Amino acid sequence: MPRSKNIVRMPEVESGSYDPNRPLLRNALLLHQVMHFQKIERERMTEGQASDYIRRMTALLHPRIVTAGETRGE
Amino acid sequence: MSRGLDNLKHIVVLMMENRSFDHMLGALKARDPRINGLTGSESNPDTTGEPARVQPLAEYQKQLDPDPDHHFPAVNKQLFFGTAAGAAPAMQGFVQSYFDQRKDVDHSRKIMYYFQPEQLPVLTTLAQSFAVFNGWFASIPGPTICNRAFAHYGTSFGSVTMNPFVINKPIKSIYDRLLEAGRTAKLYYFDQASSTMEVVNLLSNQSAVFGTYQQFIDDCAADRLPDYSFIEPNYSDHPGSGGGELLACDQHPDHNVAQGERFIAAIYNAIFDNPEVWKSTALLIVYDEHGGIYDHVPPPALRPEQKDGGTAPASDTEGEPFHFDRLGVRVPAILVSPWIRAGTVIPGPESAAGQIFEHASIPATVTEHFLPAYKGARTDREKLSSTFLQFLGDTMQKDDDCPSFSD
Repeated sequence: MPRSKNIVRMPEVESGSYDPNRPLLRNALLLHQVMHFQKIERERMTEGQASDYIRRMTALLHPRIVTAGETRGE
Repeated sequence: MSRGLDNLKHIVVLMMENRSFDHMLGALKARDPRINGLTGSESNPDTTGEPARVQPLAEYQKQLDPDPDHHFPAVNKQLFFGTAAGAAPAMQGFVQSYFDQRKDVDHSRKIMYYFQPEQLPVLTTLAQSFAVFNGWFASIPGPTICNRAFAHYGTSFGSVTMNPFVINKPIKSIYDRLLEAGRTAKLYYFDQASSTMEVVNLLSNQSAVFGTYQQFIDDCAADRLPDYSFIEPNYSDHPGSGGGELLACDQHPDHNVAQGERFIAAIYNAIFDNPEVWKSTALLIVYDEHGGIYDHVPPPALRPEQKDGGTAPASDTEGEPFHFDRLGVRVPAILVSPWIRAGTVIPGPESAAGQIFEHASIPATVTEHFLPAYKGARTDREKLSSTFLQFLGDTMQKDDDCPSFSD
């Protein structure tokens, strides 16, 4: 039972509003929040954690390791 | 002391993101001329020299993309474009500033759009059912982090940027002040995936201060709110921990404004639904800054004695050094309590009897109410800021006269 008879309807949210794929660069606030966490993460990072991070980033940017034979065009 | 103040046990602050007063509440002037909103004739020149008039065409989402620039140099342009040297800000540069981002004249004019009250039933109902401030300004003509710092510390320690690595003892946060005095305080973020904007200074050093949105709801239901609560909205679209889709509710462009309405309603309902909490709580709903969106009221200069002590270097302002001697753009601010007379309009700079509020008013008010003998360091600016609990009176509104929000 509501405590008031003065009920006000809230606006509906249109379907399709949810977009977790919105590019981070379009939201300066979230971008800075991530940068602040990253700065703290860097300050606490060990060499082992750094190499794991570098491995993941390298795999992201360069998913297939090129063999020496391929570089010679054989 | 009023009966409202006698009953007051909890102060709750909900800080939303990046919307100006006129954008959200300006249309209310047509309903109540005491509200310093829009007449409909306000305009800014676009880059072709044509006037771009304010129009009630704001949409919940997919309109202000990209995020309008609200860093110090852009806000300077929004305020001072077309202003004679030494004069008060003409507020004529909002369209010019937004044009700088997309180089699209038609799109740049959308920075003048505002909402109809019917689109924002939660915010506009609360504004008319309790107290709305005509003169609450962002503390700095700049972005989020430095403005939010004023709400927590009463200063940004000389910063006008998004850099949070600036905290300078001995000025303590409002949370430290309360806890050291044996009082209670909590900063509720939405969830771990959204977290807090107080990443460095508070989350790193005082993690015990934090709770989540769900804990706030539970604390209201169980009547165990702390003396002081500060609530942060959800800053991102992300999956819920138990599945489902959680929409950002901060109203930061280009997040859905209707979802923010629903969040504000949820915070209000949580307080209202527990009669013990309702009669003993004052809820301030305020926005951190204007987000680059048009407002017609020139931000006032501070009085010389309201010294902050900081100076932002020219490298941060891309102009002259900034001495923290004037405020940022006006933002929506609403004070909710059953002890406030419905339809209260708190006059601002448009009135000789008006008062100026800014985010330093938050620690100033909390300190004055809960720690009246506090002797720790504070800026003169905070000490001389207007406080806002005097609007609680002797008569409690009946429950049936207060709104309750529902689907």
